[in-house]
Amino acid sequence: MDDHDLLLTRRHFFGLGAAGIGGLALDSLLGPDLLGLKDSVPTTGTHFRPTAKRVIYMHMEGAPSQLDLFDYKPGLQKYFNQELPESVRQGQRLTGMTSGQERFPVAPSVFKFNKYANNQDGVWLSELLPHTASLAKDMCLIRSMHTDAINHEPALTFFHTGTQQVGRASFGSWMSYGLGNANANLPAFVVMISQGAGNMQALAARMWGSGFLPSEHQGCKLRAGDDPVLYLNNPKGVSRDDRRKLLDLTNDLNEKEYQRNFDPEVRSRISQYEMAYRMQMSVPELTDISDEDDETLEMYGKDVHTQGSFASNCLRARRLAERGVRFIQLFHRGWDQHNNLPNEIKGQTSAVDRAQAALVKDLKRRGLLDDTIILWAGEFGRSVYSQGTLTKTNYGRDHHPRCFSVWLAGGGIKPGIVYGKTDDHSYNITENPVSVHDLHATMLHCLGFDHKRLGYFHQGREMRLTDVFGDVIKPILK
Amino acid sequence: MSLLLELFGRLHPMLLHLPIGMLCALGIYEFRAWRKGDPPAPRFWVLLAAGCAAFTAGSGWQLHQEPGYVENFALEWHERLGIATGIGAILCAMLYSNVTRYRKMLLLSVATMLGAGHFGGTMTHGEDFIFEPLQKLAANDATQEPASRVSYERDIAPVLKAKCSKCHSASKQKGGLRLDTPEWIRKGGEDDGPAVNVGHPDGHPILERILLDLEDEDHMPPEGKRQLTQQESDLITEWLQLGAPFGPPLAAADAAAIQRLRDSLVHVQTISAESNELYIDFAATATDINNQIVTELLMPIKDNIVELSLARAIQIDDGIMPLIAQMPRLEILSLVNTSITAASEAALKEIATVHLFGTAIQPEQPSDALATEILDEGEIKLANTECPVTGEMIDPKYTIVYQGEEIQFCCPNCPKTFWEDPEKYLGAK
Repeated sequence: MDDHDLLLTRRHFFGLGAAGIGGLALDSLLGPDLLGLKDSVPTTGTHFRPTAKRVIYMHMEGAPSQLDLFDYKPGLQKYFNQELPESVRQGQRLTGMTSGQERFPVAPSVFKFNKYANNQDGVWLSELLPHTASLAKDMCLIRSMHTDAINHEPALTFFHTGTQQVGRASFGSWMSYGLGNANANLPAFVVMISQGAGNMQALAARMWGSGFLPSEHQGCKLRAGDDPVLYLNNPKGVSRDDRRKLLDLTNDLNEKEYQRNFDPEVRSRISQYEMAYRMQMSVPELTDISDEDDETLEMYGKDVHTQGSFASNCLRARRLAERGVRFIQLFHRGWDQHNNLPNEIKGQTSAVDRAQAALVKDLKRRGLLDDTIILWAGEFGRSVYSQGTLTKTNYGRDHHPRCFSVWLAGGGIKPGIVYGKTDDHSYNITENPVSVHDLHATMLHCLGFDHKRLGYFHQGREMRLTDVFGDVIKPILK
Repeated sequence: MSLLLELFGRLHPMLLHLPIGMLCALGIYEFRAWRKGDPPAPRFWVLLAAGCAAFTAGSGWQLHQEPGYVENFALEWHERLGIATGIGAILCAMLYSNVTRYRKMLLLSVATMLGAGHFGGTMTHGEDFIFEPLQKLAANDATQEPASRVSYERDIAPVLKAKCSKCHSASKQKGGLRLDTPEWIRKGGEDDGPAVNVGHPDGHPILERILLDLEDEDHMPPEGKRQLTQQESDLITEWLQLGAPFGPPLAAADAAAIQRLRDSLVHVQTISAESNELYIDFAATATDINNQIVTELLMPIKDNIVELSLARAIQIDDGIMPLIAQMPRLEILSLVNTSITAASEAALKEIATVHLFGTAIQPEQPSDALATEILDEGEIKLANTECPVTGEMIDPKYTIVYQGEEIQFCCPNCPKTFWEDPEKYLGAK
């Protein structure tokens, strides 16, 4: 064994960690049952029959205001400009952006709410979401989400990977790892990003990274324009045949390398080259919307013709869903309205409202909503007190992790219900809190996984999306 | 009196450990004494052991008088050997003066006691309780075939008969529930409705009852009745996680046929790790497939298919129906954007869920984008946000009550101005 081999073997050995090696050795000696490990041995493939086969996750990056969209608080109007009582705030840690403010004046929403018929006694939704309101009988609105993080970066990382620390695998890559793909010609996990109108925060690619999972499970970013996947098309002068020959040769060499050092990343590389080769054919077919009829395009709104818009991404999301892609992640940026919220939020909702409602309806009529979970969420909520100057028609809202609203639809989630309640200031949860881990556990349950059994050994211990937390929220299941 | 007797009977599971310990200890003591030529154990200990053994046998006999016990081999021999142990122990005490006879009798009693103990353990813990871990080890070595793990007929029905039929069968239906045939199980009882949630891994009322704490009044079987052994409850759990299938277990689909499908870029997935039922999706090759290709690929595994998607396969038409008709387990079928026509409509009614959007059978219905039903409308009614005197932004510190309503001002001076002519300023607002 030369030094090079030794190095690689050593690295893989320590990648597993001492406990990993010891555990594996014991495991093979005794069998998992005797160690009582049966329930924790990581497996792939569903544990039981799923109610959902895929996820479309619309992340509203920047955190939309629950107070102006979903969490109706008519009682707040009489507290206009009054100080937020300490009994409500309870010493809550604030961000550096408002912790120096002298006053925390209550800012009731300037938007009108209507009560729409759902499958319970109705749901109050903001006038800003008229199309989304037409989903009242399909959606499950959770008003009692909470998160641990108060700033965008850790909160996004928490929502997408199950922890605030960087380096773990994202939800979509867990799906790719656990379920594989239903379409061999497309990646299992696809990400699309649309730019919003307002204040935009950085969006790091590790939100769809694979962390410790083999890298073929990371999300594939689909871009707007003629080159949806960078470097996918053959350079000028290279024919598809030439590409094939080149790949065959490279794969042979890579396979030899794998036989020498058993690094799983070499196999990942081979499979990704092959995937890219097939995507040279499947991606143009996917992004070409000329076969969509006018009525469908009309549903999504006129923005659907603008590549890179949220509407265009929604239509692509439906096309990906019907082609068997497991996890479709849409990001719409620009919800971080620290000031000038009433004006900026209108720009945001007008960009997403019609298209997201169209997506759900389009999936529904094609029978795809039955087995697709729709999740619409920001990374946290926004504060009831105004950041900056409060006027009759204008205010800003700071970050608020203690409560916010998300909605789900399809895939075995109970339709037309509202779950959870907040206090009169939409500041604290009063009923049925749902943590990010709970949400992940519940979605994994719909996808056929016991969240405690979908794991991966890394650095000496088993890693999971929900780590050691999370309970399935049974009341929101069908 | 009968209550006291019942209590006496219930003491059995606790008492029984005394004679086991004492008879074993006596046996060891006498064996050693016999080898060394020592005198026998003091009479007091022999009398105490005899008393405990007789008392335990009596309480066991009393416990058996209560209803809820299914007569079987283990129970019968537990009772016989238990009573024999009781009598044997008394004889030991009676024969104490003759050391040789006493020791022979003791040997016999210890032997019957071990037998009684074994059958007693079998009753409460199941037959393979002790060796279960070793069997699992052996099972792990063998390549496990996920096929036909649990069968209703073979594994579940006998357990239900043994542990539930006293109260839930033709003779007696507590809570209106019978658990002796698949039909009755699906029908369920008064409290929970259907006892099982067919086709789903969870939501089975029967399992919730079984898994409740023994102390819970909804726990089944009720406290005091013979409980399910761990093995039995594991079997039932496994069966329910499969979705409570009553039919004969489904054999795994032909591996070669599945490989052929995968080579053709068709997605094949068992619907869960434990199941042999398949979900098949032609998403990757939808535009290339036709009736003939699909029929050839799927015919060998037609019995295993429960979900099938042919969506966007424009070349698929009514010619696919002969194949579809031969899929006995098919539950969900997507024919979205295929060329299927109304000729197949009747045959498709047999399948629980069929998606037909974009076909001749279900013409597109233009959807009204804003079809919503508004139950109530909110209104925006802020308290006065501007000072009625100056029109400046209010400050909640300067609030007065006028005719029952709170009015807020921008500064301490404005209320004075306001009181001079309230109507003027309210009108201005």
